[in-house]
Amino acid sequence: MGSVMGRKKKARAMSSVAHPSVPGMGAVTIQRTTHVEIVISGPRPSPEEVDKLIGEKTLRREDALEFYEALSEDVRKLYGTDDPDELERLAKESEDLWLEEHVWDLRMYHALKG
Amino acid sequence: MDSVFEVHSRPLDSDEAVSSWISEKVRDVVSDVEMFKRSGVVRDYLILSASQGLDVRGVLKDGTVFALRVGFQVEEVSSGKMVFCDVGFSWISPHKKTRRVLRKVKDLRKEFRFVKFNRAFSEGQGASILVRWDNKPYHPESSTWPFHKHFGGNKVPASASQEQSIAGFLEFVKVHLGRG
Repeated sequence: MGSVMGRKKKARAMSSVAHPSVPGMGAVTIQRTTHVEIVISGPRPSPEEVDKLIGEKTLRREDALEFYEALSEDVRKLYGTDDPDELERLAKESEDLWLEEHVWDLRMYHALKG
Repeated sequence: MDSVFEVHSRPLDSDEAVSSWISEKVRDVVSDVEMFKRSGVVRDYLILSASQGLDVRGVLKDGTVFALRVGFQVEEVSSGKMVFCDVGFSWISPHKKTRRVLRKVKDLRKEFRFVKFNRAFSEGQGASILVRWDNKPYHPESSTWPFHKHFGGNKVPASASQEQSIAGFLEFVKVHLGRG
């Protein structure tokens, strides 16, 4: 990271281009008319600041549980079960990455519940 | 920027060392996300959990909602314990209805009760992208083994990952925001 914080916006015509972050996936194209150059820089938070941020930004346990519970209900409706092991098996069989993410959420939910 | 996928070059020798390594990695990722916020790319974010993994939900400057999940898996090897990282980044592109929801709800915490990362929502509300990087040694054919990436929502083969760090997250954000 450099030393300048900010974001520069460059308006320039660009043709349809292959997604630069997906090597080999030529079928994925993104039509861009504007190129935005984003510069992320500046002083990194100190370890003490990061610990403080984690404390400030982390939801209360009850709120996080409520959030995961809502996801769990959605998963039950969509897949007929919210059992992480069963869902993981389903996800692997179908190579369903969305489902894998839900399995991850559910495991976090169960870990939080204890 | 250190790679979030970095596997300790030597296996760690104790649970304390593993715990310390994971804590440090969680701090690195939170630090990155905070940098995105300070630069105006991320409007705000919340951490659902930072204990056994890291689950960050946030909103980009254009109202796009994202989820950044970092999971850790510890495996015993003959000479100690190895930690594997699994980083998932998914977002829901702004959609008229989504934007209405985001405008209506002032409290970011409440926002997330409306915007759920389920398939029905994402497919019904517009474009969505999910990308996941991980370093589990599953794909020996990858030129960047063990680092690899999954892209898309379903039945997409793993492709070689050129972004072996959390900076890959930023690359996707840049492309997304640059679509105009």
